[in-house]
Amino acid sequence: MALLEVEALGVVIDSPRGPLEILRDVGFALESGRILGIVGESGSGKTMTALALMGLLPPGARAQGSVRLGGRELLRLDEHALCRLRGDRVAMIFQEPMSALNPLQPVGAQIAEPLRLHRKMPAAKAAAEARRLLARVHLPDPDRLAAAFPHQLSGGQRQRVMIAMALACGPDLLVADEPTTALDVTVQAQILDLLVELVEETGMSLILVSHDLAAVAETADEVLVLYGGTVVEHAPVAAMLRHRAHPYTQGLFAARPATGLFRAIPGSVPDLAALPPGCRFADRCPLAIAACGDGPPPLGLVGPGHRAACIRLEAAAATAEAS
Amino acid sequence: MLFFLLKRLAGLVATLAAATLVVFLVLEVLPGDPAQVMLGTEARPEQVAALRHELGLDRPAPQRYVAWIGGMLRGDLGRSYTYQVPVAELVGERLLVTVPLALLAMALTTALALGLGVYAAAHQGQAGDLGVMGLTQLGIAVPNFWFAFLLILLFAVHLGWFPSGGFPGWGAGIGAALKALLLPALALAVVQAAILARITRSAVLDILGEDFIRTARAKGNSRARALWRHALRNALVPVVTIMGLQFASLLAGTIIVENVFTLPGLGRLVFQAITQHDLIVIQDVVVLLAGLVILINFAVDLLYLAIDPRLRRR
Amino acid sequence: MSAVAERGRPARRRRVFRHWGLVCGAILTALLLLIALVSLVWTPHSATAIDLTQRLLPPSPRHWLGTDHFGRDIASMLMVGAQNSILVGIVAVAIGVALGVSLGLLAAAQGGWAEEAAMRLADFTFAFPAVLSAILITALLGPGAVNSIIAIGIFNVPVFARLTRGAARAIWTRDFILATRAAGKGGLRITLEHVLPNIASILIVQATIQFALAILAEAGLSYIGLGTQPPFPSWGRMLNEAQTFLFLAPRLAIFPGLAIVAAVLGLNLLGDGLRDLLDPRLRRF
Repeated sequence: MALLEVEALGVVIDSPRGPLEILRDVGFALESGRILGIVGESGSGKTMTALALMGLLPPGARAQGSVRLGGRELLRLDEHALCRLRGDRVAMIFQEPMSALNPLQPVGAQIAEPLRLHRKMPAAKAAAEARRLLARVHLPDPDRLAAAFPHQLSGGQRQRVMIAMALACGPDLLVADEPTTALDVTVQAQILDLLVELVEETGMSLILVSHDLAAVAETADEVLVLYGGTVVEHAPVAAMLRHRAHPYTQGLFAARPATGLFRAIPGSVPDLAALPPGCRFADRCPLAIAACGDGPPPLGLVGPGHRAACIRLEAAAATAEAS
Repeated sequence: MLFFLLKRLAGLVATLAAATLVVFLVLEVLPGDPAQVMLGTEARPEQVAALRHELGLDRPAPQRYVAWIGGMLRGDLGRSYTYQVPVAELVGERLLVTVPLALLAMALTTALALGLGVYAAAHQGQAGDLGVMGLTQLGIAVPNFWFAFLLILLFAVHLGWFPSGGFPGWGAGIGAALKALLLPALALAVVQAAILARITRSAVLDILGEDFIRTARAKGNSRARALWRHALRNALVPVVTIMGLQFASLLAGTIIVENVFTLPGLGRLVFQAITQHDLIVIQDVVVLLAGLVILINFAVDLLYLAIDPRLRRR
Repeated sequence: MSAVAERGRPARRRRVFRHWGLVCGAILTALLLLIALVSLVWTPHSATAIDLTQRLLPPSPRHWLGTDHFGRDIASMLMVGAQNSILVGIVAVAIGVALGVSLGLLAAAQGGWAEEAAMRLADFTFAFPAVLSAILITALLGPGAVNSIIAIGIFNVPVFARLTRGAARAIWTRDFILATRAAGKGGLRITLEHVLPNIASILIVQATIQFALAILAEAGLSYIGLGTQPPFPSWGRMLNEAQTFLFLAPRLAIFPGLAIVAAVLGLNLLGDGLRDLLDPRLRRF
């Protein structure tokens, strides 16, 4: 049994114009010690997926489907049980480490808080543990740093503090929502390296949410590509590097600055209030045909563990070949 | 940090000096001869001249100002004309009523406002929030002395739980003294609490949208714990600012409310001084009250530093 | 995205509540003005005529709200008292607007030391609540409606100065101002033609709220005898006189108090409602 099993996960928001299905039928499984990258543009639903896993959806949004952690169904847990789980078995780090840290608390105290909450650790012991965690995320001079406030640290240091905080209780699963987006390029690589190192060391699983396909390709074991709140492609990284089956993934890959030929996908992410009944990428897809509008395309197998949701897979494979 | 403190301290001294100057100048510039005012219109010119000399009014203004300030620094506030005792003596015992009253009122204000404000923010848009907001809207519209009447009618006349006025003195025991101050403090607090509760609510709502609240929840804090442990302290800076300003209103309010409850405080003293035209007492008490307000706002500045480490940089 | 989700339902419910507040405020304020206007030409009885045979009567068809200890008709006194409150409010706000807005506009247009000086002055005035300045003024000039109005007006100055400075500074940074500047217009002309019209709505809203505060302050000053003098009826003065009979005839204290609450509540609701209507982003408390 995998550590995390997500099946038919959806998120619905009540709007004045009726319920909006902003996330639909997301499914994947994640083994212990593995890294899953979730990739998509902003508005693709990747952050919603992360928040749904944490049970931290904004008010008015509901999750449906199934999320099992170690066989336990999370979506049916009450708030009290979720509070005991969060920060203990599942931890999360966020995009903007400056605003994600409490500006009025020394970082040591913020790292110690999960230990005080979940392990009922006495203050002195939790503080000592916090300093140990600071050393573990390779921050120099942990004794001095523990007493520092967030505004006294650099961006990279703050993100390391966030990671130390998430690691405090030794979680089974770490959800990292765009952990490097707000950082300098050199610091980005260091933070990703640290995350990989920690996964190898602790055996926890990591979900890396990012819009940066290249960063994910270097870090993750498998990749889940989201578009308009649905899974368009799901593959092991090696397979994805060899062959991108879905036209959207192909476009996303071509849009990487690293390829030198920056070809942005024309158009923009669909308006969640007016989603088409068929393939949500159809209006931007170079290969779209009339049939694409008929209904949601099924996730079809294109290789071992490699699935893509498109009815034009052959045409897509041909264009990939040509380019 | 040290520089910041020194700068603030210099500002404090300058503001206090300005306050004394303003009071002095107002009495100087406004038409009307203090000696004439004190003695009344029937006084003979010789009497007025004698009093002018006694008060030193025949000396030039700058000289009188310096003498007044010098006296204040030595704790000599002059002599009350009507009571014929040193003003410092009069004021000293009155302060023991007014300052505890204002502090008690501030404590009640803070407790009420934070409780209601946080509650309303936590239930934004729900019935509880609308109820609190409606109540505070009403509270802001109520004159404090009229609310004092209502309190007297209910708690003193109808229920008989509290005295309707008067002050037994601190010698009668802390319990009895506090009991006499509770209704006046409540009358002062309700209006201020209504204002502060609205500010607390909006400050907490601002903070609840911040990322670090989500972090706190991701760490396993319950909604309530995240609110009290992480949001409230961050919301405190605007709240404390308003509290500083409110202290001025509270002190001004004591002048009025002390008259409702016949409490022997500064307000009552200044009121009597007005009817007796005792300008020396009036001048001293006004400066004292303004000075208290300025001191409190200085304390608020220091409180910022305690609350927010980001301000300690300079 | 998440903001929409978060605000969705409460926002709709609050909008209904807000407009409800605006309507209530407008009705109460209109009522206040109407009563004051009517009292200029008609009151049920004379508001000042003393008739000791009619002392402390309970409400009746003849005296709607009863009579006070001098036999004066309370309803009539309240009606005439409304004139007093409105007059004090208007003049005190006018003083605050005239001085405060000029100071604020000057500070925003000049910047530098002029701004610093104006704002320090405004800060400093906060140390003198209306009651303190009123005490100081009345101590020498004697009590009276005019002196209390001046005291309240002075307290309004820093409020308007700060608000104007903040709002005007925001306007000054806008592109169209830069354009007019480039076209060679002077600071005074820009201020009068562009800055002032753009901040007028904010000032109107604040004026409504300061109006309410002025009514409260005047009531307080009249209550301690520093405001409007007898025989002209004022709500605060009525409460002062009612205190003697608080145990005997509590209603003497109830009606003027309710009048103050209704007037202040109406103006506050109107001000808050207008602010939401004109610019929802300004909503702070």
